[in-house]
Amino acid sequence: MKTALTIELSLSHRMIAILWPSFACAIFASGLFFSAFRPQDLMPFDLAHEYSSVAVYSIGFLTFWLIAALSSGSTLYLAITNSGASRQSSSAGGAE
Amino acid sequence: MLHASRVAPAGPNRLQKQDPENTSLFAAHQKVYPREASGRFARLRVIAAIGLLGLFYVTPLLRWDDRQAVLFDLPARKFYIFGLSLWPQDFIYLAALLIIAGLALFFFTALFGRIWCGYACPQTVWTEAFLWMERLVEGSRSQRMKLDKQKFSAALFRTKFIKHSIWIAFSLWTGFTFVGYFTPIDELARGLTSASLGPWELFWILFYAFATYGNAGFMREQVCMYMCPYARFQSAMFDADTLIIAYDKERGEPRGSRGRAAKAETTGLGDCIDCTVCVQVCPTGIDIREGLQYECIACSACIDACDSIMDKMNYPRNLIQYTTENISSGKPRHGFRPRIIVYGLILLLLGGSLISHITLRMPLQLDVIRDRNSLYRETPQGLIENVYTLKILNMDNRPHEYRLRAEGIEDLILVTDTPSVSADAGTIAQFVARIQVPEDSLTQRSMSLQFHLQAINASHLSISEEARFVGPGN
Repeated sequence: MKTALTIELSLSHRMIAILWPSFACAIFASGLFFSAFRPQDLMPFDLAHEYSSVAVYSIGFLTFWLIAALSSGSTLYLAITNSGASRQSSSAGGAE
Repeated sequence: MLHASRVAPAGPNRLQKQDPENTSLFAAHQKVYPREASGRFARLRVIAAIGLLGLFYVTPLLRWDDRQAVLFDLPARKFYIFGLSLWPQDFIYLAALLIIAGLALFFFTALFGRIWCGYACPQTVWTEAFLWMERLVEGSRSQRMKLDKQKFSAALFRTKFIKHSIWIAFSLWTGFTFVGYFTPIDELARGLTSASLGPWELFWILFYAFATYGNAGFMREQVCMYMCPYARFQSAMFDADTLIIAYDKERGEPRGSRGRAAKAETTGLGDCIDCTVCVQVCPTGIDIREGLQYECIACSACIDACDSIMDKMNYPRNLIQYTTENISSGKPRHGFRPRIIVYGLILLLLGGSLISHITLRMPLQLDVIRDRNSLYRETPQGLIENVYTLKILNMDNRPHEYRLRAEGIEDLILVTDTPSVSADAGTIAQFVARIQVPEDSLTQRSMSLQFHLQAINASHLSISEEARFVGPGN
């Protein structure tokens, strides 16, 4: 069957598609990472007193989230810009 | 005929014209105003919601000995669950618990369909709570719809302001309770009242409050439709004997409105009076009469709604009911299917092994580190000596005193500073042990020996660890 997949997403659904799976992945990644490494061990000695472990866990989690969101965002971008409909619409002179 | 495993595609078929060449993934959102349903299943749902919410808000307030009963203490890297304290090296138990929870979801889905979605999912439970508050302030479904069509006025602003204030207060309390699972909740309360709360604790309270407010107040059924992975793959666990909610088409059709006194013989209509109450109560805004759809979270609000209408019409109940594909098509039902037996057996096996591992878990660990500065040393008495640093990890809830023994090399002498070592609950005790061996006993350059650690006041706490002894060699 010849079915082109057009992904027409509103901004909020794009945000969901990017932020939500990456959020779940960030939980998984931080759980795995911080059960292997103690926050104090990751910090240079002079900084270890400045940041509490809750701060390190939080920054770690948010960093994982950001990285995973970059991946989700790239996937979505590549999927959208390569879909049949975008090619059709751009060849017809229409902007997305 | 119902097709449990072949559910209808997503919302677009209802809300948008479908282009056969292009399939749009998401439909434009139309706000759903669920009407309040009352009846036996609604009661059950309220009981489940109160019980689960109660569990969430009360658990961090419980005490066990002189600490919080359930606390995932991230800074100290220890998880307390009543009498059990888990260390990072017990991560495997948490992983096993998650796998078991996943399997249990498979098992109960195969048996009872989306019972999780309808009664126990946090999204459903908090949405119920938020809807209840909304009804309290804004009134019934029709009042709410009318309110949202109104032009801006002081009265409208006041109503909306009250609703959102209650929602926000409830969300903040939810966020506070959630963070209370990770930071001792009494500390958190003190920090809040004395305005000395850490910035990250405050951040997570606000973050979780915002998520609650957004998910339960605004996103609601959209979370189930667009965000929930379980909603997408649950149909894979379904078979013809899985419990589903379905409309009895044979009995209901042709549907049509009629007076209460109308006789079926004269109207030629089925039992569905097309009052659309089943659609109005649906939290995801679907029409169950169109067949099983993936948006259906099996909350059974439509069953209660339809039953109440059937009662008013003096028709028998169960025009919409819990059933299975086999029952509704008159085929024999099967309780024990291969799928159920396989899920059940794996679940039993994993659950049993987790419980036995946790009960047999030795809350004691011994690390032996040989002094790397010198290979060996000769004592004034002419004995060969090796020095070891021992670390005792007491993972028990009580302090213990331990006695050390060593064996494995003939005539070895164990020298420690004190005859026994003590370690407080949940701490690491470190001490030095020296092993002295006459040179004649050393048959090889490097030999193995065993350290045995035994708690003095608890006979079941003992552990052995192997170490190397290095000598001059022959």
